[in-house]
Amino acid sequence: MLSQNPNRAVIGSVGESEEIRNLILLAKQGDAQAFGGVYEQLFTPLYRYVHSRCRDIELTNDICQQTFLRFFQALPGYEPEKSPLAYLFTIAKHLLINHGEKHASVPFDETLIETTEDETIHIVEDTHVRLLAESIDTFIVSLTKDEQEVIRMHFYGELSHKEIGEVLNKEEATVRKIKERALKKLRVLTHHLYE
Amino acid sequence: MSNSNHYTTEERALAMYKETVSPSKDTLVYILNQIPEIKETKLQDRRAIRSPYRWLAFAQLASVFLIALAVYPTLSTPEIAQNPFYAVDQQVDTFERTINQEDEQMLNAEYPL
Repeated sequence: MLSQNPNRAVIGSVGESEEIRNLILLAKQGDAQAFGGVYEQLFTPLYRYVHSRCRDIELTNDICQQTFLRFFQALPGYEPEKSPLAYLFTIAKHLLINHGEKHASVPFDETLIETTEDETIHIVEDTHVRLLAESIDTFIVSLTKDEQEVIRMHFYGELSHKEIGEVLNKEEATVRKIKERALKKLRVLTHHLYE
Repeated sequence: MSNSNHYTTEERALAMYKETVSPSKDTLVYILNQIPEIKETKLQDRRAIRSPYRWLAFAQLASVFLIALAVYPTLSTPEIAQNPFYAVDQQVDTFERTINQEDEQMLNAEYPL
């Protein structure tokens, strides 16, 4: 069941909020309730990202659990200046790699990006957005590994460009470029849905 | 954020898809319960969190200190402490110097320049 709110696009990064930072500082001092608050706010973005990568609920739960356990264990040494989301996602990314995640990559024809016109799909009805939302995740595997990561972290994990840069060791501007290119590719890949 | 025209169709579709994937409340609670109480682990923070590199640095410093402790006496101890014949050697040296000086004096006296 898809959301009935297609206007709600990119949500601001929760990891940058002052509230999270304050909760982490309290959690560092041993406040279990504060850690619960951090967990509650960061779990869902992490869950969506991990699920998108492994598409297995059991494994997603397992990875999320291990990620938070490690986050919890590293809490006394955690520096609040750093984004907690970027830190969490870095842990999750390594855990996914350790679990031998397999990428079912589907090659993308680069020439299509030059030949497909953007104007035809510039403005679409909400019904089209809903139609696209039902299948867009299946097209992500056709992107490059970096593009997949950026799209998943930004849209599912709610990380800012800067935070994604921290996880992927890339400049913020580079992350923006990767995202733009990935969106353009997705437009090409889903072009047939409008015809 | 409220104006959907700022976002492309793909961005809106991705945001919409995202909302269909959410953990259940039970999962959320179950996983949180797997994380031990902060108070319990807080006591072990020093052991649990300390970086292994600190131990490495500590071990290296200890090794250097022990080596220095072993080597220093050989460098700084006077010869007299190591050589049991030091006094005799000194007497021999003095004697030889005296003999040499006497020989030189005698040579100078017999064959003046």
